[in-house]
Amino acid sequence: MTVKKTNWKFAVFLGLLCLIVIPPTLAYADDDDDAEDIVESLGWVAVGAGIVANVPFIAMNKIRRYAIKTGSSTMQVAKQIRTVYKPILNFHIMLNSIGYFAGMTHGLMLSRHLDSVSLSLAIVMSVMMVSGLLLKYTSSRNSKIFGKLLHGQFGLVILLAALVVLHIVVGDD
Amino acid sequence: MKSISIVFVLFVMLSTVYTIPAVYAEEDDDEDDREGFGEMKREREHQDEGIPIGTDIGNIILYGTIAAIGVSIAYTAFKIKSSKRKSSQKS
Repeated sequence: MTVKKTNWKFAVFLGLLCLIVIPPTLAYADDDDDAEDIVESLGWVAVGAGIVANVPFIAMNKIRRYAIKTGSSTMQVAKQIRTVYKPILNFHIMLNSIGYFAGMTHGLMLSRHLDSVSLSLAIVMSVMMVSGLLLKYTSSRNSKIFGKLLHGQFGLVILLAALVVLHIVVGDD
Repeated sequence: MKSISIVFVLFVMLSTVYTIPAVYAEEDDDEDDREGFGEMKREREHQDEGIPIGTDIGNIILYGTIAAIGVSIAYTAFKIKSSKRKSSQKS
């Protein structure tokens, strides 16, 4: 069991390392348009991963809450959602981690053209990521509640979405 | 202990991977300056892109974001504290 766990950790470590090392290497391999295209694609990977990871997860949570609120007739739906909650949560965490690292690599590779929207976006993304990690990996009750409240703040989600849209609009100009 | 060492190694690798490209990017900047008027013009064109840090709108966006994060963290802490106070008053 311990050997399996160590192997699993090693695989995750290697995967993460490849994900982080390969894009910069590609970007700096040639100082031409191809490299810039690859870095730009990383930004789109981050946006895509964020949409796929968050929209179904938020929708599922809203439906579950609504089903519990309305009472007995929709309770079956809430129970069914509860059975698939764990895999969808893991999917949410995995895709958001990929999106975060892709977005950060994209930002660091294009840090020469850093503007205030990109910096604000990086700060908000990091806050969301740290609160998510706090929620997942802490055992203390207080920090778990803090992580849960901060991670689920509607204002921060709206701010993140607005900054992503602004970043795409400003970047395209 | 093992997981702590893995996290430490990961942190060191991450900092190395992110620091080295940044150093190279800095060197590229110097090369651009040395290459003459054409390159300098290209640099200025790039600087015009986006909303640069230090301008009025840029500062509003940046400080607005930091303020929003600060407010949400303070609100969360306040909510936890008030719920704790309520539960201690009940018992």
